[in-house]
Amino acid sequence: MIECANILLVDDQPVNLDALEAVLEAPHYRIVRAQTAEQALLAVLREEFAAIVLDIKMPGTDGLELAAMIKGRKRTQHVPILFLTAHMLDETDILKGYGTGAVDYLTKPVTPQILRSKIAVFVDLFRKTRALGRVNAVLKEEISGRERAQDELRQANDALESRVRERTADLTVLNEALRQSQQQLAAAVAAGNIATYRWDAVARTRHYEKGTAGPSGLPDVSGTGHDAGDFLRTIDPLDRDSVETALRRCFESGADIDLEYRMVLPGGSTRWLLDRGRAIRDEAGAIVRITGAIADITERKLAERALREHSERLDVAVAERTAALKRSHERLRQAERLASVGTLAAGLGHDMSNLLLPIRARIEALADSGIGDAAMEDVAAIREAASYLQRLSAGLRLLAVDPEIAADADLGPTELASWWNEVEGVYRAVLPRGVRLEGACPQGVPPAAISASRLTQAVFNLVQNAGEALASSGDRAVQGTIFMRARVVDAADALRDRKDRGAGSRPGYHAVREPRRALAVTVSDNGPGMTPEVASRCFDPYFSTKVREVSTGLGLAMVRAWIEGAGGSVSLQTAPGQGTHFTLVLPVATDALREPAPCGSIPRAAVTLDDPRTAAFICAFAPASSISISEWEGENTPNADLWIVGGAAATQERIAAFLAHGPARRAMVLVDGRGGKQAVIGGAGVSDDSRVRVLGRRPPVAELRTALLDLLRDAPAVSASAT
Amino acid sequence: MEPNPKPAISVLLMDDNVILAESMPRFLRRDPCFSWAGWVEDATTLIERVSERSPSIVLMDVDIPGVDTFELVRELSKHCPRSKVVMFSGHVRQDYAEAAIDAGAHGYLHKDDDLPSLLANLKRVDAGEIVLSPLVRQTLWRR
Repeated sequence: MIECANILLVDDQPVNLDALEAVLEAPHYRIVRAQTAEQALLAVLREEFAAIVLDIKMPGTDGLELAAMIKGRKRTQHVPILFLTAHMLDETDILKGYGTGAVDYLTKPVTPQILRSKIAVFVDLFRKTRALGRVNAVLKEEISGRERAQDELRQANDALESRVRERTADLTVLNEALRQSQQQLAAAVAAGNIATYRWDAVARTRHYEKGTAGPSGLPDVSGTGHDAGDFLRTIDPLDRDSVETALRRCFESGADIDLEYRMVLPGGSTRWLLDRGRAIRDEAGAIVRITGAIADITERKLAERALREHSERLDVAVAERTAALKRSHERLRQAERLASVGTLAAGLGHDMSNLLLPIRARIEALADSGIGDAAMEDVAAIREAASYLQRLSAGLRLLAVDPEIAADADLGPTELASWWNEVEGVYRAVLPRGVRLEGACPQGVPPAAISASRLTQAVFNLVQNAGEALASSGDRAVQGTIFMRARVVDAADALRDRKDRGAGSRPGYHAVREPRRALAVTVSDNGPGMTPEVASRCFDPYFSTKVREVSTGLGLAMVRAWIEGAGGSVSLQTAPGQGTHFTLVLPVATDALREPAPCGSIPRAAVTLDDPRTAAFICAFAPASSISISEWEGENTPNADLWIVGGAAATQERIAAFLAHGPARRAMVLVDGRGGKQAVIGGAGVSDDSRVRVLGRRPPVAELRTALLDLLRDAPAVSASAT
Repeated sequence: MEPNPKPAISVLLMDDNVILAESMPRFLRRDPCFSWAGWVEDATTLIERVSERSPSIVLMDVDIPGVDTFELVRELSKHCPRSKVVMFSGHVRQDYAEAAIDAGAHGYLHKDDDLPSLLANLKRVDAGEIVLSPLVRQTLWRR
């Protein structure tokens, strides 16, 4: 689309304006007329013109003045002005004074074609200028965009340069380090152990270059040379073949020498050398010599060997550690298994107790309610069943106790007959279908010095293993049976090695052992038995076999640890086809409570306390600790080994008087406050030694228990006071 | 029959086992020395009920879900000192028995105890003694 161009015609004569307009009339021109300079100025202020046609001669402000004003304004200074003059010669100089190519003139009378063509040129110029302006604006926009981009680029560049500077600084440091390292390398080379040599291909003699350092003691560095035979004789026999081969190949086909070998120096020492050599040919291609260098790499070789040895030791250590971890993992697995069995047993036992109590209560109520004899028989049967369940619950409870914690200080006595009565139901419950369990525990067998729970768990393992062996043997012809037998054996034979294991001196062990007799609890099965190889390893903590699934039990290693922990021993007799027979030999305990020794080994305690609750509590607990409570008959009472005293009776004098009646006498004083203790201890022959314990007036039970047991443990001669 | 000169020993049971709670009164009443003071299932109403009925003995289960029963024994001894607490447990545990006594209980009995010995022990508690289940005495405090 063609842009419409404004053309301003200025003439004081309307006729002239009409004429001009008629000449310039064109579709894309818009003609604006002005008859005075003022009108013309207003017009150029209002709009933009492509050209102005101006009559010079006008009244008032004439054309020249108007032109000067238009040219003086910045916005209009480039608008081309076409003057119309009457006399060409008069005006030329004036026009020159404006000095712009955008001003032209025409003399009157105007030739229409010239006017039209001049105006057309101006309009064209105007349009091009406008187009140029638009292009210019676009360009300017582009330029400013580029400038922004450039600015960003410059900033990026700055950042990059800064990083380059940092990197350069780093590199400089590294370079310096490298330079130093190279210097050190050069120094190392200079310091030694590198020598250059040449072989003469014709004479087959070897020469070391003078002035190069070589391995200390290198033969013939002086340069006189020696032949191949001499040379090879200096090579360690182990490496001689490979050196000879490399040398021959280099001489014959020009193959490079690159190998490590040992050289025996004249002094007798052996050095490791790295040898790199290259064949040099003449113009005809014949090999004339070999040049090369040797470096003493003995230190490196030694370091490599040390490293290798270290690595091997590390491998061994890692293997050992792995094995240890495996063992400890196995122990953990077994402990977890034990814990899960224990948790199950504890939960079952607890729930059974909770339900059995109401059943038992109802049975007794029923029995009392005057039912007939026939119904009483039923009641008796139910009572029997409930009693069996109660034993089962007790057996489960024994299985539930963690033997690592609870049974450690508990070494029985355990009555084997009643123990078996409680546990056999639990054992039967874990056996595979069709496997029988029989027990024989004669009455009168003395009690064993082991905690019932530990014994339960040990035999549980053996019974469970036996059950699995019988189930897996698949021999339907034989009734799978497990026998448990307890009997008395000769302790001298059975527990010979007891002292070696140090179990007899365990702290907390106070059951009196019979020195002559021991108990043997044998768990046998008529299953497939074990091969000698399996039998010899079945006590290993992580031993397992497909022949007999030993590891599916809780671990024979733990069984052995528990039994030996109680001062006993475990032995095994087995052979393929002969069944498996484990024998647990256990020390006999003399249950002091059940069978009081004639000399009165039960300590007798008299209680004189002002706190009835503590007194009642001591009386309740004392029998469990094999302490009998005797009447207080004064300080010289003959029937007390221990006086538990508090309140007003706890005076220095009275306690001293009590203790004075025998060196084995002990006193436990329950008084409040430090003043109380001071009042009792420290005078009148009472010293704060092992014979006296002072506790608070109402001590916590655990504290009382510890003090009481300590006091009696420190009094081995307690029974002497009674004699 | 000569009338019992002493008032009956009233027993209140706290246990979440309904079957036990329903069986106990009938069983206890067989012995004329005892009377039944009722049953609470959990700790929320215990102190209120004990204050209200003033039983001679509170037989308290050790395992009440969400309740520190040893702390409850302490509370009860403080608020209702005339009622003696006996803990009634399915556990043979030295630490429980000792904690019960330390908390102020007058006994620690086991649910597997023989019924005659259970009754005898409750009578001894009423007489001022501190009692332990034979099961506990059998295994604990052994020298």
